Amino acid sequence: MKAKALRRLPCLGLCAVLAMGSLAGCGKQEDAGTPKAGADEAENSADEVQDSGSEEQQSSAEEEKPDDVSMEGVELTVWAPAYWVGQKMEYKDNEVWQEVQKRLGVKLNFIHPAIGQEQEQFNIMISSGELPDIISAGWMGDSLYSGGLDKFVDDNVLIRVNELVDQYAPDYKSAIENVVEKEEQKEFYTDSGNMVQFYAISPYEEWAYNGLLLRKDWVDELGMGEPETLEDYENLFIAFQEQKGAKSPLILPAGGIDGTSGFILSAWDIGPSFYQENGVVKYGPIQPGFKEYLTLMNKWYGMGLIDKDFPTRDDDACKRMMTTGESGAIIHSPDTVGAWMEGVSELAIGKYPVRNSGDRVQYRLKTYQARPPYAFAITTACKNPEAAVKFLNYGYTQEGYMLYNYGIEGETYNLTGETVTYNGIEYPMIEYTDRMLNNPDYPILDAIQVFKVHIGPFIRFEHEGNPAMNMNNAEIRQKLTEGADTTLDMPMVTLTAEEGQDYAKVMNQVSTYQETAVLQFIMGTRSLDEFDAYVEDMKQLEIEKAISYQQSAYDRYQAR
Amino acid sequence: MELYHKNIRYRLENLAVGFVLFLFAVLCVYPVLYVLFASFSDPMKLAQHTGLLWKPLEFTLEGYKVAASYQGIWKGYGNTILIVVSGVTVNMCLTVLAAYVLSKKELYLHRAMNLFVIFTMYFSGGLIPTYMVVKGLHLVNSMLALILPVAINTWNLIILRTSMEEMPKSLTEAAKIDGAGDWTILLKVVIPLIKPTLAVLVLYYVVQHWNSWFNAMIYLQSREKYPLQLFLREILVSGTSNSAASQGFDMTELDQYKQLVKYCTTILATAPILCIYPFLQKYFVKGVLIGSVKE
Amino acid sequence: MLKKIAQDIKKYKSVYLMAVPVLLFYIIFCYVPMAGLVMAFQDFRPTQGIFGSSFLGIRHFTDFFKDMNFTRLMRNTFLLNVYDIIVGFPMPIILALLLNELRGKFFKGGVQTAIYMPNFISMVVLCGMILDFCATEGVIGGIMASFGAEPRNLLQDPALFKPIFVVTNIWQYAGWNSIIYIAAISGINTELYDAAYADGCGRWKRLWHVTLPGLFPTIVIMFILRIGNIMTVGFEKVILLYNPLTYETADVISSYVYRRGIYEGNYGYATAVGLFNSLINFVFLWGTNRLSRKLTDQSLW
Repeated sequence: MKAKALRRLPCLGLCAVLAMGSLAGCGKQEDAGTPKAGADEAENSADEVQDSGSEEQQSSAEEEKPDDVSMEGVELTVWAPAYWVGQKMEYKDNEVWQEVQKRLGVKLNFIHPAIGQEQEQFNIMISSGELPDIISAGWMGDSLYSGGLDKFVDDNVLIRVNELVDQYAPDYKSAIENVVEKEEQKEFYTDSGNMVQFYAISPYEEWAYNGLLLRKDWVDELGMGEPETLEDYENLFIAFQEQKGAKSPLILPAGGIDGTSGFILSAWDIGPSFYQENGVVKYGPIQPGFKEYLTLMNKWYGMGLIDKDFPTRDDDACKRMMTTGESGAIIHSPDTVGAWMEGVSELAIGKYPVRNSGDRVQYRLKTYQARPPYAFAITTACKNPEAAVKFLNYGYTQEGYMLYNYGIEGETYNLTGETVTYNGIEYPMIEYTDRMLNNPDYPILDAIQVFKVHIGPFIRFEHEGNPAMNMNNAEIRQKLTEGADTTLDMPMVTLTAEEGQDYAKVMNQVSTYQETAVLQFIMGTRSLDEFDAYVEDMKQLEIEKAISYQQSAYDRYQAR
Repeated sequence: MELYHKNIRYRLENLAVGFVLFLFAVLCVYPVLYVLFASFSDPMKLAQHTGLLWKPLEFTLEGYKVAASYQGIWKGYGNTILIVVSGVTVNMCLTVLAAYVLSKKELYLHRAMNLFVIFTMYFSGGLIPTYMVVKGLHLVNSMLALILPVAINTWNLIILRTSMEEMPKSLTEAAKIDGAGDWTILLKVVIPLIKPTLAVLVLYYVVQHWNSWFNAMIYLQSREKYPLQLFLREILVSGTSNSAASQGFDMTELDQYKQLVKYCTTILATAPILCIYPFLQKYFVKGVLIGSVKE
Repeated sequence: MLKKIAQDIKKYKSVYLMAVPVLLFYIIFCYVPMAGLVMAFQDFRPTQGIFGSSFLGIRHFTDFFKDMNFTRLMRNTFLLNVYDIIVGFPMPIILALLLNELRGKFFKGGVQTAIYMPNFISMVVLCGMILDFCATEGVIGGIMASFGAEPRNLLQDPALFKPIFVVTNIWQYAGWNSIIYIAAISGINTELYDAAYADGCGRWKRLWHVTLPGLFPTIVIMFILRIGNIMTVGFEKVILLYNPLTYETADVISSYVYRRGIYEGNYGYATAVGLFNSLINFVFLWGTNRLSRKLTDQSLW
């Protein structure tokens, strides 16, 4: 019940954030939730969308220019990883993709690699030269292209689209210039200035999705206040152990460090891997601060505050421990853990721990406005790149991004009449209908696969448009995003193909060695007096070479 | 002889053997039972459970409902059966021919051909080159790509060859004197004699095709043609934390059912193969065939 | 020589006719792709294919030999196999012999079906169970606790990885592998048993003088084939069961190649290590085969 009610709230949550939580707004939306069924009405509203779409585009370049690319009879093959296993997981069954084809008059043939085998199938596809017209990177993001995008352009796999975009994709171009912050616009070009991908664009930084999560009921009952310093945390965990009977209060990530957001170790102003301090790239696990981190973890492990078996815990085990009260704190995704804990306890977000009260952490997980996991590139096999570019441009027009984000107006969503402003641009607010939210045939994750597009080339309103986002956790994620600065974060750098291969070799050795050493230090099977020897070994394994590659990638990024 | 059977020691031995085998059998059945019980369990209860499972935790069919709703899973069944039936037919024909050829020691090329075949067990070109060959034959996205490249399993071939070599020579010699050609000998004399081994091979090939997913993953582009195991595989990896969950989804439903569906699909994918076993098993019963052939 | 072949073909025309589809299969699907082994000597890039990639010579091989984990990988791979051969190889034979002694068709059939079952459960699910059972609060931990020992996670102890791996291997495969021996036993001429009965041979004597000799050729062939895999360990199970604490004793060549192959997309390197691995296997196979031909008159070729 509760979950269902919450799902209705995406727009509402946003209202609360933006309009200072006006109750009136919420009430209004509740009313608009009634479904507007009926074929006639649906058709009408579809027409409306098209009308309003062309009206609103009057200022855009496309309207002024004669339509010089005909989409008539164009067929494009799109290679695209599916999201997850579901009732209707193929794009051809998705209403939005069907509608896009209808509106643009283009025919799209989708090829889906098997889930979990995307990289393998991609490599074979590239090696055998059987290229589709368009490649969607899916969850893999830019890492799909090992060696970097430039390499794939040089090897005649992907095409450079700078000029085509200037000519045929004015809306994509203007979205980059107007929606994206100046500093982040670089992400759309490679080191050598090529524009290759159509990235989904987020009008804001999407909330962080990983953090230290605590059992809220325990924190409340203990009445110790919100923990802030490492000492507070230690006391809290001791209280979990002594008063709440938690056998192992904290579950550390299996590797012993939080590689995603650097929780706890960021207290010493280092990152979990590569980070930069005033333009100088450094590697966290060989810094003196890392020794202090290990010393503390070793102490906690000795006190029984950390789960004894953490190196071998998988998600299923973590879920069991959290829900049975064996543990009360975990570093994980709030959405995942929130889902586990439904009916057990709400989650409280743990602030980024600091050494001294009042300090602020300088490293955290950051998402960028260019969303690499949602990117589309055109291959050299495409006979009609102009048409492909025009098709990809559609998602950056208002008509297009409304369709991709929310589905078909009147069927899956209705406009509320309100708007929301990001970077000076107003966007209409919507509310999903029951067809999306409470469809008896399609549970919400299936509804996403059928009624809207999650991975696509468009301006993407994740916070407003994801009907599966749990708003309780959205608050947590927002706090995670605001709770620390990103002064030490690395930007989205790319290594060259040559660097990349050597880098991978070095890092493979380094991480194999480091993983063992870190666990041994924490679990006490190796004395921390040997930390210097460990750093020495890491240098033997050429960690400094890897740092220098990251440094030059960073410098190139700055020079873009 | 009669006396011996009544011997107490003999009985005790029988009991001991039975007991040891029974224990091992229980140990082996348990994982299947575990998966079976888990597949009927309440997802939440299952998540909190540790250790052994002796009955479903709050019986429910939810997992099966979810599994059955997945696109293509029934089609996958059909595809798998099609591949198994046609694949095993090709396998058996070619393997029997190959084994007969390789077992003929009087051939001048006997050793060379055996070495030629065995060599391929240890050296292979690997993924990409094999793909290029299949592509060159225009078999990509065709079911034949799942049958032809694995038409002979050399390991199975050697098993069959060995059992042909073990056959008493006098039988084939006799047939030859009667004027039978090689085809007649193979079909009328050799095959009836090695039925138990053939049954084993059929079983091996059936299981091989039934469980294979990798070639389907590489060669098939259209999901319409996916075999069951590829779906099973997708379900096992779908919704893992490095993909959807980390991208900000409330994966409650997927996560809750993932565990359960994993078990349900395992049962769905395993049950049919366990059902055909007893039909082949009767060929293993000692003496049924060989006993009737007098040297 | 060619002349001899031609004569032979004439003499055994129908046999060679039978060989045609077989040879075609091996040539097309096994030998033609073998050209791809040149990747072991190339800086292979998926985008450039086999013909476009540049040559490196034997650098992949020297890279591997100089790898700091080289000895560890070789040792682990070899030892895991040796343990598996010593403990695991006889198990299916013992099972088949025991089954042969079993009377009662129904019970026998039931046991047979039962022992094949673990083979059908996917590796991920099985290894999940192994992880569960070995955890501190798992079944084995519970048994340890009831004996007063401190329960701990067995898979975090490097010394226990190989024993756990080998024992669970028996659980997974011994039953399935016994099929071939069961079939071989059923192929033994019953007259021999009847004769043994008539001579008043006891159970052990029959086992020793009839069943084992009947099984012997199969055992020898299986043993040669097994030795030919002396450096082969499936990576999937290792990867599912190991963790950084047990790398020392658990990391094997295939898991290493998997990490470097997938992580780096380095097909050339993976092919080189694979080729090296195959060469060792083949040398062992060759040796055992020769030995076997001398000692037992059984051989693969």
